[in-house]
Amino acid sequence: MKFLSARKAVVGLLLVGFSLTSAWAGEYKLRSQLVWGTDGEKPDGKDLPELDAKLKGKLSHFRWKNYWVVKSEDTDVSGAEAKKATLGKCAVELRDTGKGQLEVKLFNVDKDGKLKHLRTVTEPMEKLQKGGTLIVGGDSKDTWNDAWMVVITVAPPAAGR
Amino acid sequence: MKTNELNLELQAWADGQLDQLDLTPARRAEIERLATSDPAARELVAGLRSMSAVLKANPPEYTVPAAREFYWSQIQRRIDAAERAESRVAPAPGGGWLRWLLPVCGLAAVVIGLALARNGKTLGQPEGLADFGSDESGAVVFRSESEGVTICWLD
Repeated sequence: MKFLSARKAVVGLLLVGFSLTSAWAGEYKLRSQLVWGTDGEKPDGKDLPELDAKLKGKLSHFRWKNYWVVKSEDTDVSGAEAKKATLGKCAVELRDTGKGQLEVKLFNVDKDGKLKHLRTVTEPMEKLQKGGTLIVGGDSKDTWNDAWMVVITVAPPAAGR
Repeated sequence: MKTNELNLELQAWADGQLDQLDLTPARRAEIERLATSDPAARELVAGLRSMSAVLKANPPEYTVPAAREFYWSQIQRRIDAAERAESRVAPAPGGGWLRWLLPVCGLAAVVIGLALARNGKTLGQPEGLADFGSDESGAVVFRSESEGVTICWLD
């Protein structure tokens, strides 16, 4: 009887451990969004969603009226290798340095699909896990007075998990 | 005679950009004829050229593509950095052993910084703005601990 109870306890501990590990791994899933900041309206024929209100609040340092999400991609960065998220004209390579830092490499994607490295930025993983936001952006080279930015946050847990 | 399309073609003619439109030679000749002989078209062209001259003589004011707080915080950050640099070069009061202690501390800080850099660690940026000094393109970094946001703005 005691043996059975001990075995149940071990199985229970394993299950708890597995759940915690899964939850922890989930926290390493990052969402990269290419956002277009503009005072103009949404272009016709393009069904661009508006940036989430909470994230929009974090862009209060800027003065653009509208922030349209051009592309969004979730990336699992729980491993040591760098993972790439392609966001149309730009791409980001995300890597957990293993020292509590997230390394973000930003690339420009040309017409032939070739990548040109623009910038490497590091951000403490802990800040992102606590709800922080990393934004890498710049003024638009195509449209005066507009801006583009890559907004990186921890991806919200998938529905049903 | 005026249509929106024709107006745009006349505008292109006035700007010397008619070649950039995909027009047949016959249409191009027609536009040129209208622009020089049709009274309404000539009036439009004259108005456009007049407006163009006014705009060239009075360029519009450009606004800073950032919020006022963001813009001024950049300036504040640079002033703070300049003041810190000045205080570092100011002579230490008291002299004596302090003259030796400061260079030793500075050297120790450099050694620690190099050691951390070699280990791939990134020193945390203080709240506010900092320049990314590197061989990559210029950028300004803004961090707000209270809002949990880091902004890296590329030039």
